[in-house]
Amino acid sequence: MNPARSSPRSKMPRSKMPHETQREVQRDPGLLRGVLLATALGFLGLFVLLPLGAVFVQALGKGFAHYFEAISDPKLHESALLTLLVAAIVVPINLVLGVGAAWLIARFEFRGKRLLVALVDLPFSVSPVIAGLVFILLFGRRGLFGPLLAARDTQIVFAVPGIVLATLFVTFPFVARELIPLLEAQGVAEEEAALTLGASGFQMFRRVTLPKLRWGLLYGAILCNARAMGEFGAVSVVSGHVRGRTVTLPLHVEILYDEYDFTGAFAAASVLTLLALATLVAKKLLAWQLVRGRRAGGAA
Amino acid sequence: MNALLGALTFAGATDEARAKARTTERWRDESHGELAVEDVTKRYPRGEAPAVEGASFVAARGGVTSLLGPSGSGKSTLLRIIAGLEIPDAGTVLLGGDDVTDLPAQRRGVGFVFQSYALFPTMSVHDNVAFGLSIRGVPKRVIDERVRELLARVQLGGYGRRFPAELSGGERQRVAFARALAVEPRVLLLDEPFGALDARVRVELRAWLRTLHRETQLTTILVTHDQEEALEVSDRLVVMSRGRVEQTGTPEEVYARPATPFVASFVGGAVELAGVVRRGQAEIGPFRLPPPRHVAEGDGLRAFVRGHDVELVSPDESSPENAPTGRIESRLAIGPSVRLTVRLDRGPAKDAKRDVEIPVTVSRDSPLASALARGDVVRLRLRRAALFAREAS
Repeated sequence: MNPARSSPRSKMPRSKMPHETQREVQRDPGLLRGVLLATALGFLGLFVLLPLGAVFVQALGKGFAHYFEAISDPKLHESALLTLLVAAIVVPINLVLGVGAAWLIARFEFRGKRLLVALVDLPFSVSPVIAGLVFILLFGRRGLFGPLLAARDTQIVFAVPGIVLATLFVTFPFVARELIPLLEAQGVAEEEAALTLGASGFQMFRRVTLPKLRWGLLYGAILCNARAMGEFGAVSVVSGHVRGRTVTLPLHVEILYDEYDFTGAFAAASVLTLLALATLVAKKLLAWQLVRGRRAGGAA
Repeated sequence: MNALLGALTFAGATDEARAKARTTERWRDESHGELAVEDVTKRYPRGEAPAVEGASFVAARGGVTSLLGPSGSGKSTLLRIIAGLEIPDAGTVLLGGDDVTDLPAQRRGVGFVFQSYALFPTMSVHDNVAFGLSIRGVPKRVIDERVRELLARVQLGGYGRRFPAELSGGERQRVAFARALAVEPRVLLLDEPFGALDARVRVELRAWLRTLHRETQLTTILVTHDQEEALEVSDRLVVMSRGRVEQTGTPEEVYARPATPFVASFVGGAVELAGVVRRGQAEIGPFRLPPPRHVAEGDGLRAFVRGHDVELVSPDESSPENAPTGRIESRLAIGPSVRLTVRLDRGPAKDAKRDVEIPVTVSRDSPLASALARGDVVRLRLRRAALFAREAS
């Protein structure tokens, strides 16, 4: 393996192939290229840009005054804050858990490793609704731990802890899935070099392994965050829809929609969309920082 | 002459093992060596055969010791055990007289250079070299000074701000050397350091490594499968095969007196021929040589013959003895020497069941070599061969 290999998501693939040759080899008929390009752009427009635009068009449909009134709703603010709170708790926890799981799977051989890999994927393979139901079965009043929780006067389902747990479960695989192939491709020679140079296990991890994983971590965190903010099914089951307390932004959108308050629903949806866009911008800024830290032009 | 015949039997090899044990003892008393490995065994969970089995050797202080063997011979595993990157199942690793077998890699004070360079891709050349020092909390000013010195030593002055991805393979490996040297290790461990480089750079770096070693006088262990590299760079060879140490000695000793059939066939590119002890002589095809020790009449022999062990007999020589004739099958001029393959005439040896082909290497300048062509008949004399008793099977 080439140790200088950068992250597979490298921003700047540096081909050494002479460009002339490459063009000769890769030249497609103009028509085919046009058709492919049109298909890709058409698909993107139809399934990504159009709905995105529709959200804002609908939200502003009755004029700015209505829109501002709708987004000034304190209930919307409460749900937006809850969504941010859940994401702020879930993303760091899943980053740590994901790094741990990926490290364990990529770097060690042990019995039951395949089972563990399958379990990491489990949240992706079961329906979020079932994931939510599992938590009801565990922590609900008649659930496995129900009596115990009742005795201590603690509530997990139909409360914020339940929402956090359900979101943690649903978004767990993102970071680990992103890191396992990275770690497996990189091998351990650099880590071993750090050890022979006197680094402790933690120093090795922080100064050698983590920097190599930063792109994977960044993407894992973005995906995890997007899903944490947008999760509907599992959260809907454990939320209990207590207005102002356990209603996240996606649930808020649904409630307004069910009440035929379309302007309100789309206004809330626009806030959620803006949060997603803000995440993308944050990612861009972070990526830019990382590249700059490595000097422009260096393999990212 | 007998000694030159390199005629050690297996009984002889056991003697040597005992001698080796004594050497280790003496080393412990007088601490002549910097590094010793004693009876190390390592087995991987899923491998049937142990990766390293009962391996022992001593590396002299300030010398270059090469672990030489084909891939899978356990040499890299043994090096990793010395570095603390693998834990042996049994045996002892001594560094400067101290038992370090249970010491973690971080505290062994060894410098390790990997075949894959293993530079930190996210750090500049400067930060790579500085890594070990910054881990130890050395002040930045001191680090910068030291890194500058080291980069100059590996002929990469001014490269500090570049990144590994921007360097050639040879440059990367020199950065790896500087990084390993930065922490002032007690021993330098090199795991096929030039294995990933092309031939020309490899030869250059070999010469550079000798210079570096002369300047630093650092005890060095070099793992390689390239015997040319091992013979050229090292003071001592440890030849390994299938996890075991086959022979230790100076390059000259190992080349001239291989202790086992494996060493005879692996070092120096020998051809194996079958022989037998008859009438008190070793008969190898039509050739006769003095027999090795510890063999009886009728014993089978394994003879290892190198091209340089065979000479062409001048046609002018009157009444040539013990010099059978043969026909040149192929002729290859390789640089300064000419390599011939000669198929020997069957002659009177009735039990010669198949044709014997023998390599002959002669100097390009010798008057005979230039005149010879494919199909010519020549007379050969076998100067020496490494002879071993064939194991009863």
